[in-house]
Amino acid sequence: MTFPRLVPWAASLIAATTVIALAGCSGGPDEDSKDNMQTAAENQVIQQVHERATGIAQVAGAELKIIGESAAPCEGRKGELSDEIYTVQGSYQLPIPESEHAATLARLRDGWRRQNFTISTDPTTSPGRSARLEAVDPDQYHFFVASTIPPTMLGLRINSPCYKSPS
Amino acid sequence: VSELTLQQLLSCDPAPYAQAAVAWQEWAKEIDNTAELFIRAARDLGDAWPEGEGAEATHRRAAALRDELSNAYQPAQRIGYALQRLADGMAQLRDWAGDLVARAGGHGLEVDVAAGTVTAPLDMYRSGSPAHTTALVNGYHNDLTTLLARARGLDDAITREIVANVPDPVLGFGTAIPQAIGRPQVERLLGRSPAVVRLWWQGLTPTQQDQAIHDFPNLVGWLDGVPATDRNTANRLRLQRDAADLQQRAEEIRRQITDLDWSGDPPLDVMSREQQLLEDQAEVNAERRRLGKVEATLAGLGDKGFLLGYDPAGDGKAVVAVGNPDTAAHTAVWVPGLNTELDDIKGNTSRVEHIQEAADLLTPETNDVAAVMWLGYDAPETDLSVLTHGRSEQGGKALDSFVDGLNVTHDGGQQHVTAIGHSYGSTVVAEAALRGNGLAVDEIVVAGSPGMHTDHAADLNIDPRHVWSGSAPGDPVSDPYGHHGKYVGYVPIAGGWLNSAEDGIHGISPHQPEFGANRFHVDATGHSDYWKEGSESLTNQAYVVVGAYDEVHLDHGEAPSK
Repeated sequence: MTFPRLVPWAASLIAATTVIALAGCSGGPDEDSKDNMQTAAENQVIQQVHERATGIAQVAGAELKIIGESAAPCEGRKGELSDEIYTVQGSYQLPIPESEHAATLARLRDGWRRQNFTISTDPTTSPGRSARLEAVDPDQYHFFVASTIPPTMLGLRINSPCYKSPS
Repeated sequence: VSELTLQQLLSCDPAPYAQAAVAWQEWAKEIDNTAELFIRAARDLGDAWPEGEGAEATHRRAAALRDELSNAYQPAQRIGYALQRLADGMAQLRDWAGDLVARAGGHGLEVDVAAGTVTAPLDMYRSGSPAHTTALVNGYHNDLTTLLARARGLDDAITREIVANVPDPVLGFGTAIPQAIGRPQVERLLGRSPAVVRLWWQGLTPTQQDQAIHDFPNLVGWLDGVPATDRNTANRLRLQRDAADLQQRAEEIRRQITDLDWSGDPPLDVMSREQQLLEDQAEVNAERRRLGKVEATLAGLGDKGFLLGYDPAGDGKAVVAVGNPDTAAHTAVWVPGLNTELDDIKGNTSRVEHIQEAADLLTPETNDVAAVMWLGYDAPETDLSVLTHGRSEQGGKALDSFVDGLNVTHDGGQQHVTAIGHSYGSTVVAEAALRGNGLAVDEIVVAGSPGMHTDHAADLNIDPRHVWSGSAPGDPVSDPYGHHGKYVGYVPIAGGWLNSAEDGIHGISPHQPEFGANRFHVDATGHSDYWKEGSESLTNQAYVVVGAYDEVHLDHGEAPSK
């Protein structure tokens, strides 16, 4: 009889999987957080994301090129997907010359600070990197703005928080 | 017969031939694409308009058009290749001839390029050895004559090839139906290198390709070396046929249940038969639900979705691309891990969608990034299978072939490929990289990895600066010793054993500094959030995927300069 070759990490993988299963690493859209979640129709949230993108394009003084605006299920910590809970992502590009990237991001950042956004990546504190700005607004919408590679545009991504679909 | 002169050869400009070659090759590609569109559009003509004189005439005309269009592809391609060979060959021979003429001049010889003769001035015979001078003259003359003969031979060969492939003035490219492809022909390709498969596929007319796709979708759909669009057609066809079969089976079972004759007394046989039918019905319904998830996932992706592999047998396999990897400048191949089945297609495809969207946002062109969810292996379950190398070795071999296939089917231009392994999937990537000539990718990324079957990134047949590893706090697979032993503690009874089991059995995790990979910063927690939308973990990987190494936030390691 031949026994399978034991690999050293495998037992830990089984152990970890068992741990995940038994300990029930809850997270993401679990029942408690579901109860506290706002209810909204997908098209309303897409509209919310779109309006935010339009506002950013106005501040940046650039045309808003829409790459995509769509809803996707929210994922829990175990990778599970919910049929009722979703998030919306909007992806856009702003054609702005490279020489104006830093100033545009600084303008956005200053405006967001005034509106009580939490700035998580400040363009002025990231030396050695291309222009990039990340922030979260008081409604928990996440914003990511960065120079494209090569830097002919600014890429903009907006992620909504998770919402519950109206039943 | 070519009457090319030395003078013509020396003044030959191959650039127009090269331009013509490109034009013919582009035209061939257009013919191929148009033929595919036409075949697809005309396929249901017979169902939509089945009878009548008009219908018959239309079908005949459509078939003739399809066949002529299909037959035009290969001649156009052959003329393109021939012109390219002419341009390359003439450029080389012209340079050699120019070099010979210059060297002859350096020896004091005179070359009459119009007459193709080589002579030496009388002084050379008088002042030196006449025999040496004669030998020198004859040597250069012979070399130039031989070169000219090769140039004329090339000219003749290419002319014959072009003449043989230009359309007949009356019959055009003809409407002869090419020989049908048989199952043994396709089966012989299984396990062959993607380069061989690619050559075979290119050698078929569009009609033959279409016939092979429709007759053997289960085989063509998994052939690495067949272009993404054709694999997508084959796999979607298989999916569609499987769905139709299942529906038919479901209806048949329903009919049999309805037709059961309960008039006997006691109806024990009927009860037993009903029980069996109900079990069959449950099985078929479960299969339909599973298949429905694949259909829903593809529907959600729209035009961006390519089904590059589909097999419902066992736990099921699927390869889904978001974006076309044959035209994308950057392609990421994401390999899932433990307990992944066809059932999980939606969630896993959602992760690669996040990767594609995050990376695509960073490039000025839209859709120049593709991301592939590669479940092309039987991922292990939480049982004995995870204790062996078997699944990762099998998976590694298949992944290696898939990536080679991406390289040979790419349309040209820049292609930058990244393999991303999650959990056990990182061992599949590792097995592919460790064996033979390695994995043909530019970057290896792993997240939540239990180990990579080696203690050194340098063993992965790639510059270790192009190996990137992420590990989240609280990931019990990649970081069981971190500050999250708490998970082990939660486990009733087995907690102590698990603690002991974990002690001393870890290979080196690739995010450890001594492994030699770059550790990218992960702002998520646990084992499943490495591709969460809006996370820095996802952004860091997106920067790797587009080759913007300086932008990656590293916890340790050294990013390549470019």
